[in-house]
Amino acid sequence: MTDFISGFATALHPLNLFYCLIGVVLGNIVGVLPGIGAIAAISILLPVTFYLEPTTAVIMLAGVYYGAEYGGSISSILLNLPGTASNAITTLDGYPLARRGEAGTALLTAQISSFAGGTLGIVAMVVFSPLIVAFSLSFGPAEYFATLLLGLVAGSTAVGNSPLRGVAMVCIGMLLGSIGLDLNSGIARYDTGFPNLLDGLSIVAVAMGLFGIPEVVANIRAAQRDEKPIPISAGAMFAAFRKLRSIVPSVLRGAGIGGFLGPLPGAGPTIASFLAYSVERSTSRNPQEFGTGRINGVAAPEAANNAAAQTAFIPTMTLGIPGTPTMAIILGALMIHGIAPGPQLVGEHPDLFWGLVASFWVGNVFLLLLNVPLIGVWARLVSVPRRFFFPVIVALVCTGVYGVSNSVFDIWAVLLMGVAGYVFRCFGFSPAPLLIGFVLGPMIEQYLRRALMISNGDYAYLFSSGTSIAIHCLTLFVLLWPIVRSYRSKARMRAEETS
Amino acid sequence: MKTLKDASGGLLIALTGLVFLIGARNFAVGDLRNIGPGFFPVALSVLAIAAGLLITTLDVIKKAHAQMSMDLRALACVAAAIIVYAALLERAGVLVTTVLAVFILALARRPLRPLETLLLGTGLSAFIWAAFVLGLGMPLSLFPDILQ
Amino acid sequence: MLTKRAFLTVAASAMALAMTSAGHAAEDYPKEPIKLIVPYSPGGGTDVTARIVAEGMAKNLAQPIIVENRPGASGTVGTLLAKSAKADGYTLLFGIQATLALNPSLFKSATYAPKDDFAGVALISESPYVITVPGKAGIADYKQFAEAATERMTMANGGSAALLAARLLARDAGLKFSNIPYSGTGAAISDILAGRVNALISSPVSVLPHIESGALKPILVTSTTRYHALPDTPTAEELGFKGFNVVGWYSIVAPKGVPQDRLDMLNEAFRKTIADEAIAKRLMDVGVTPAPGKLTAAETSEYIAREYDLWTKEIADAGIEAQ
Repeated sequence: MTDFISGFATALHPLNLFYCLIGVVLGNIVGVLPGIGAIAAISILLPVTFYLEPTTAVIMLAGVYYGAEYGGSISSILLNLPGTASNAITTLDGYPLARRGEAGTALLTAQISSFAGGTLGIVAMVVFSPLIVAFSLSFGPAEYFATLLLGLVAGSTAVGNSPLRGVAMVCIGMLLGSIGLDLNSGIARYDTGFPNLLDGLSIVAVAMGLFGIPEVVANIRAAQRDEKPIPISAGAMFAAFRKLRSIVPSVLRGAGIGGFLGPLPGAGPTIASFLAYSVERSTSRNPQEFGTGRINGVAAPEAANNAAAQTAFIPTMTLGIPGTPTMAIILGALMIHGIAPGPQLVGEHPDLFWGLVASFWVGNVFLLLLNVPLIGVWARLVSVPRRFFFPVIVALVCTGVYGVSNSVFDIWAVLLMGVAGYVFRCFGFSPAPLLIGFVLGPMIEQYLRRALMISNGDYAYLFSSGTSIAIHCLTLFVLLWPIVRSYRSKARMRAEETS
Repeated sequence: MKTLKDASGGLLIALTGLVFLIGARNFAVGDLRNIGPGFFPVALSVLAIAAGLLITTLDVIKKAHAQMSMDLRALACVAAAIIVYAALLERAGVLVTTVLAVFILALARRPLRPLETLLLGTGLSAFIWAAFVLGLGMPLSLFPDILQ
Repeated sequence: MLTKRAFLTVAASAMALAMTSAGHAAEDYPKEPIKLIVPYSPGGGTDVTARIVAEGMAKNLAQPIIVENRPGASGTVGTLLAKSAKADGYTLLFGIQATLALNPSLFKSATYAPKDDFAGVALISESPYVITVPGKAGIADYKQFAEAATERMTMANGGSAALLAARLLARDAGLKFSNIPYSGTGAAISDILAGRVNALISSPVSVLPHIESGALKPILVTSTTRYHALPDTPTAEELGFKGFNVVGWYSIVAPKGVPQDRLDMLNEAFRKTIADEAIAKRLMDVGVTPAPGKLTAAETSEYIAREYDLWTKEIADAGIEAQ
């Protein structure tokens, strides 16, 4: 704890403050721009970091990373364009809120929840750091398999009123995810002769195609009949502040889930946001209201993915295990300065580690101060005639997707996913389960096969630890609880009728 | 017949599953102790086909209606705009591509406002060039590449 | 900043090109920015190395070198792009063992012939693989490792090159273990640290901190010379496997057809770069052991051709079919 406080001395050094600000502002901007994501901004900044002190360099790069997580919620809410997979779930209630004229409320909720989630994640880092390391080391293929299964179940039941449709979309998502080289056998699956498909479909292309494009198609002509700008009330902000008390439990639950899942490499923030949403929905008295614009549906996932974005740094810094490509770049930046991330890092460079952790909080404060005054501006953007929006969305999606790997192939992928997404939508299928299937599917397959290889084909290995059994129980709960509840409420209604 | 059309969403899922199942015919499925590259694709395809057929059956029984009718004109315009990006972005540069795409999108709605559309396309190109090419270093040019 | 300057220079040189006719002597080279295609994502180990080298070479050539990331298909996409680029010395490719020696035998989509389509510019680095076991496993040296290596032993690897190294060792040493593939060494480290897998084959840099902390114990390195940061770890050759030499390498190549004097000029610029101690140290810090820098452009071509032939044969012998 004293280390953490002395870390503020490092974080508040004017030079570090300056680069922290640059990092979070840039991260916020690329987060708002659909498709681009933190990785592009970080790789632009990488040459600059050659000339900075390692602490300063990492503070800046980390700022880009979690700044993008903040910014991603803005385009999710305003344009139905999730900046990252972990923001996708925010569109479900954030975008309906914006369409209803409550963009201000939704944005404020997202910002406050992000800040609260980030802060709680940092507290978790400071208090539980050694525990988090032990926890993430205790996760083997069996435990990952259990967690990913939980994420899939949560994802397929999170939206809509038909779990069957959710399951169907998860299957399609997992099938799309299986495109590309199979790690174990080296076989190319469904590549249909395109070398670009050996690495699989681009996640950005899938997310943008599924969420953004169908929205454009569905509204481009509707707006013709209804040219009136969406109303935004001046009192919305104040109303939002009053509503904020009701999101406190959601934020706490979300941050808890996020902080817990963040250290898991690969999909921590994504699973966390879907699970947080699913928990909100299944513990709510009115689950049918989710998806129509409930602020709790924005608060919980935003708190979760930001908490996860913070705790994700623990395994990166202390084990040298990068959970995401972005984390890998940050590790690279450290190594350029001769600092090897690993178990000795905290002991050998306490100023760097605790300065970085303290800078996270400073950066979160920057982001809050930066974004809350801008909410008015963003919200007013919604009152621009919508016919101007559609070309902007299409152009940003196509260019942004191109930029991920400088490849027009990904634009063709957007076309395919956009058309498919629109057709599915017309038949009442939600894109969210497809996306989570796409993200988690390849991982769950990988971990299952690895678990079987390590255990020599023994399925008992999947249930060999307390952790994995506990997670499987949680999955059963998520699966069965809505059924139990609907049965109970029916029973109650019947009891009321008879009395 | 109307009901069948509305219920064809499930059939679409089943069809997608079938395509993936056919694509997986050459993958080794392996056995349960050491599962091969075909195990997941085959299992998921079968599950998708089953779920799709079940959805359609239930929809027909419940006489469900489609969420909304398909707007083919809008779909065609948006798809064409994306195709313009995919086909021209690297060759014709940001300006020509964007202006062309913006005009195609404008065709989805009547009346066409040529001046407004042109201004929007130009402004948007400038923004994209500044943000993505200058700011983020994407290998694109603003104007058609006359050198190639 | 770099891009803005690049744009201005490109615009300026476009005008210059329009005014003058082609056919200038090599001494004019390079008169515009050079593009270095890196077939991997920005920020990864390969990209960082490429950027360090590009920055140093740019200084020595007095022209910017613009790194362009074209990731996809294990490096195949960017490599194909470089193959079809103009052979004028203004497009270069960052070529590594995986793309130039392994992929053509592993993937049908890698439709390039490293020996025919590319000419060497410079060999940047060579780095061995190291086999490590958990410190808790009680395996002190290779002898005990070989005794423990039965079918039940699991060996993690983070990519095709490391997997091939493990297979070659298993064949030459008569060892039995089952290889567990991971997508990158980072993902394998937590499983080896927790003892869920018994051994790991990886580049030394990714495991050095854990070797220092005692969590992992190095057994052998796969090069013929010892690794500088692991002076006490024997080589496979010292353990009796004569001529066993598997190293990963980085290089810069150009599309075939670039005039030899331009290749030599680039090679010269690279030598000056690698002789700069600051740059050499920066490379060491990211885990890249700079090659002695003795290879000329022509010798680099020969080196790559040798590696390609070696791996094509090994992959065929191992019975692995291209996908």
